[in-house]
Amino acid sequence: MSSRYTRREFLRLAGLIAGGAGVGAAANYWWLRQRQPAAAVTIYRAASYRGALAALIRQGLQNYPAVVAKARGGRVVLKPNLVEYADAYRVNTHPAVIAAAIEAFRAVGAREVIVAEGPGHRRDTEVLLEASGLDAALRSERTEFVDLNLDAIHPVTLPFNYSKLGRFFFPATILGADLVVSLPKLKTHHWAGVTLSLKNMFGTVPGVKYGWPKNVLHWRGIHRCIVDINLTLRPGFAIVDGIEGMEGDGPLRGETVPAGVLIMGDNLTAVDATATRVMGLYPERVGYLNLMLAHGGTVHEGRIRQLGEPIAAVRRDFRVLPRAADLKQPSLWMDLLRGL
Amino acid sequence: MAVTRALEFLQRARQADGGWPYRPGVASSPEPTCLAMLALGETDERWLAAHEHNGAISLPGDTEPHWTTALAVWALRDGALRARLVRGLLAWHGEPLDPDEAVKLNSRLRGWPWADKTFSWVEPTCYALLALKAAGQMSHPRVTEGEQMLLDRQCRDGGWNYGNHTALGAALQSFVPTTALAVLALRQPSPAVERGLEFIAAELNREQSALSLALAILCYRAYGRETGDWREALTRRQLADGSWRGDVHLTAWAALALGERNVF
Repeated sequence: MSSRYTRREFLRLAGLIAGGAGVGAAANYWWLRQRQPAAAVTIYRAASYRGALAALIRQGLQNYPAVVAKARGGRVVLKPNLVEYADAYRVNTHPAVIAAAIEAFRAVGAREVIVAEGPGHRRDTEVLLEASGLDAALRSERTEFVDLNLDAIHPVTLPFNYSKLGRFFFPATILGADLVVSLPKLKTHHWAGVTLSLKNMFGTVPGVKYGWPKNVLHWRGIHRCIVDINLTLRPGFAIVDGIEGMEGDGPLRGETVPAGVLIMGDNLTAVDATATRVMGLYPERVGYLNLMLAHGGTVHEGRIRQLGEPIAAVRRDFRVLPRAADLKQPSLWMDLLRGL
Repeated sequence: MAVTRALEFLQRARQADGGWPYRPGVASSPEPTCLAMLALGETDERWLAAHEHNGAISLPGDTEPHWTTALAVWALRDGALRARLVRGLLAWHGEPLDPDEAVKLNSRLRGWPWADKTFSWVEPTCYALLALKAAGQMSHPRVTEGEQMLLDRQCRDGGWNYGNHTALGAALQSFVPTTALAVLALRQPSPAVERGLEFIAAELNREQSALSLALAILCYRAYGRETGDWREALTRRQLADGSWRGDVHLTAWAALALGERNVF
């Protein structure tokens, strides 16, 4: 069968289509950037875990009166990142930050503060709690820990269904909270690029249903699942433990970076975008942050009001694995649209 | 005494629906139900029967096959329900993957998954092997393939973790509970099993928990080895209410480890 087109005509047509798609993508990117809601992210310097962290968090919370109103009289669930006991202080949200957050939310009038996590690799939560120092911190704060892997669970229909799973089972402790606060560590991630407040919500997915590891999340796409989980649970606040971060082969085997910051805010996409910039990386390169643009997430630096320290004053140069080298490069669209 | 108090805790934790929860006060779930049945020698299968869907156990509110199907086979002694679950377990498998340089596994070997239509992992494969061997399926081809899968996943340190010995060129660390389960599931002495037993002894000098101690005791006992002071260490962790951390599944494992019942 002979073609209706010559090779030259076909290439011209293909070029037009590709060009049109490129212009369309650029227009979509520009449009999404313009409609990103204004957000405020607070950065405080915190040189060590021995500092007055509760006071810093209390001070930061004053920038978010709606969050304080939600916490007051309510049940606040703090979701730290607790994944491994080996070199625990390098890998997990530090117990001092968790204890400080407990004190800060109690100070603004929370009726109940609970710490809850569903570790992704280890079923033996007892050994994780003891070796990480969290057990001692929680005893000192007289605070309950809930293992989300073994909590009562309920199915919830996914409002946007990026993962095509239709529904996720989530723990009752998270579903019943008045305010869920994500407390991640500032780390690179060998599959997702960076792991911050949005990725940290993976730990709310219960092992009793999805296993250890929660393999279904990887099968359905890490970025799509991160977005589905966050759009379903809508965590209301994030505090990133960047006092010591992790570069390179994160989230477990990277090297410590003494970044000396706490980063917090109520727009988790904006918090993660800011934290990524503090790591010297480009958030526009992170797949799940881009997906969040269509759902009220803010990535564009010009739409994020920086409170406390400016990014430039605390920015570091986190090393990434070669497979994630693009995190160090601005995208073509960013170059083209810079200044528009 | 410790065993008696543990069994009394388990008896008290049983719910009106015939099942057990992970912790008193929440809904019954298949894992604590199966382990409590094993520890108590309970034969009342009504909770499990009510949560069977197409030859598999499902979580309450769900109809997908659940990894605890293997635990149910193990907990039930005989009967039509057990026979259906054995058939279902033999038909259920993890999805093979194309070879991936990043993880260096034989990803074509099929064991059992945590969740339907996902990859095979160590712990659910261990439960399936324990259950199928208890049900007399010692030489079934799925059992042989499951054992090969476990051997392929053994870590460089001699133990097993969740099921991945290498990632991006780095050797990953093993855990005591998964190592003990793998050694129990393999059942026969071998160099691989010996390395696993050595890993457990070395690691328990460094890290102890109720789960790691209980599974290590069960494992060493199954291979006729001395358990040293592990029983005392486990007993010291028992709470006043007879439980370990208030958890039903942990208490059931501890009762099995400290008691005389042989469930293997």
